[in-house]
Amino acid sequence: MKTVLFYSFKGGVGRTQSLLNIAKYLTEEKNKKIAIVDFDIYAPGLSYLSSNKKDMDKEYFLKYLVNLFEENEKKDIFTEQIAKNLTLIPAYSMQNIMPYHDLLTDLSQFLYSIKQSSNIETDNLSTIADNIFNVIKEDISRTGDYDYIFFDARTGITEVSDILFSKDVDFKVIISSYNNQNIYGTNEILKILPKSDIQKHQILRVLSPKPDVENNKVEAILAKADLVTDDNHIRLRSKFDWLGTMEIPYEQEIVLNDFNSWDKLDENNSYKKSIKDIANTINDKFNTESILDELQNLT
Amino acid sequence: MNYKILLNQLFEIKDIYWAFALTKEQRKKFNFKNSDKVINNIAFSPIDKGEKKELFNILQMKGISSNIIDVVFEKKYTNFLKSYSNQDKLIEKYMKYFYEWIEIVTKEQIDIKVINRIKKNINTKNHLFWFYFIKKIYTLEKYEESYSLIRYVKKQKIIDKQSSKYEELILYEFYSIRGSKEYLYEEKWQKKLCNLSKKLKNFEVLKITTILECNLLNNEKELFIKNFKKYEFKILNWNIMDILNIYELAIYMREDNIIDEINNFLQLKDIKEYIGSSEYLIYEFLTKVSNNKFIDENYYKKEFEDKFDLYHYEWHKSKKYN
Repeated sequence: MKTVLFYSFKGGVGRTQSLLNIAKYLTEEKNKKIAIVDFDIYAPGLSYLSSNKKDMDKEYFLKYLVNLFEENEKKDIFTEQIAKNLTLIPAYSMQNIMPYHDLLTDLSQFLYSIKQSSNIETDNLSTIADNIFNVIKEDISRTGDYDYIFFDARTGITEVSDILFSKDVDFKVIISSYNNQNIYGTNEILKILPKSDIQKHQILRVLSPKPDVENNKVEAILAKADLVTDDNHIRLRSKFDWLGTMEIPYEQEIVLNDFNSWDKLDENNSYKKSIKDIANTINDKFNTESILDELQNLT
Repeated sequence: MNYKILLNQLFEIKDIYWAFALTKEQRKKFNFKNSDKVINNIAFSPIDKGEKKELFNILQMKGISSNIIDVVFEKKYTNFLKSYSNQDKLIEKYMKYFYEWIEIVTKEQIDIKVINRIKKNINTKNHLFWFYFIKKIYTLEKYEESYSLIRYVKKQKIIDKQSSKYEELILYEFYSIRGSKEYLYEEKWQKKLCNLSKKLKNFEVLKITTILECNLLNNEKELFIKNFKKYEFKILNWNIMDILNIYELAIYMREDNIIDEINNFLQLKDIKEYIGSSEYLIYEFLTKVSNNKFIDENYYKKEFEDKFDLYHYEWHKSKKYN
């Protein structure tokens, strides 16, 4: 089971929709089993896909986090199958905002102390953020048999994102829009990520939505995002297992934000093609069949 | 599907041999138990580097049926071509495997001699092949090698000046020259660098920084002041690291008014809030240089690691004492 973070420095860049559509493609066409987790707890998006029919013996993800930090007894995390092979883990019920608000207040106290200590190494290999992430991953993995867990992170420089920027998150998709504010902000986030020689962060940069302007300008922005425009950036790039920068074009149907938008798009639609390319980049990273094993079986 | 079809489809390369990066003597050291066709099929395949390396070693010890190799690798090539709809991204992804093969066969020794053999032995004018090959070499900070390739591509007119990739190629050429640091001491490289920066329309920070750096290197104090005044409102909006680079140039230009002005910019950007960060350390170092204070160079070299180069400072010292 592999974990994938979807992060954007600022909102409104199509992060949640990209996550959802990548998950839809991989479940429908690559037969992968995926859990999508609404970790954007201050501005939830995926949670709206929930039918809100929670079992009594389970708890919403936000309540689970509070119990985890308060060291209370934890119940199983509430999950809901929303399509074949696709499981949703909502943050909370979107029909019940008042208790949600109270839980967030409780959680904020813990997040501050995590922020203070998230990069402290508990041993030679792990930080507190790594340890918290691994507990969460383990508890989610107990809720089903998944090939991937996709985390929809909150934006900005946040405490929650510190957990999801753990080196133990297997793959990180970093999404920004085509403007300097977004690109510089995201580059700053990349700069503050600690360098790990043992386990480099695997990073795929995504720009969305691609504007319909003069080509050279778009290429220049793409180069800035791809960290090739000066020697400091090239050094920053080498800190990671850098998988390049991909682009997502604007698609009106997707902006409408409908769960079924993906299914309505034609196979030749350029948005659909770009999402498939990103999904294949993630999937190929973890699904390379051993050529040596294949040859051994045949000889 | 095999290596021939893939390389023709992606790069219009019609004829290629696994040892294209080696000398005749180096080729002779390899004693494969299979035909060149089999070795080619493996060498140019989109498979993991570790596995390719192992397979390469196995093939020097024993032969594997070429039919089996054809069947297994056909699937790899076909799947690879289907993995991306975007041709540029497909090529960039493939370039990783292509480069890794050169690393394997040269035992990780990719130098200018290897690059010269590649220029001679790869017969294609496909601009995407050369662009992404240069990008791969450039991002590994192999600046002498990337510069040599860019000169070749420009001489052969492989990348059209109107192409959307051309400005990025100029950018790579710029940094390939800058990477060697020779431009600080040799007029020939200085001129090339200053001329190249004029061609960069979409990289404002780099362009303005280079204009001011060229003024410094040519000791054009009045032009330095004039250009600083022209761009100061743009500079004010840059991030702290880019402003620190201009601060350094102003210090070596010994232009007190501009040093004060940039210091004000840095105060406006709350430089003191950066205490404990590499940005503040750079600011502290440069301010000491500006005020002719004692500098513990070893301490700063160690602290800066790869975050800040002292090559401008070294240049400044060489000027100061000559």
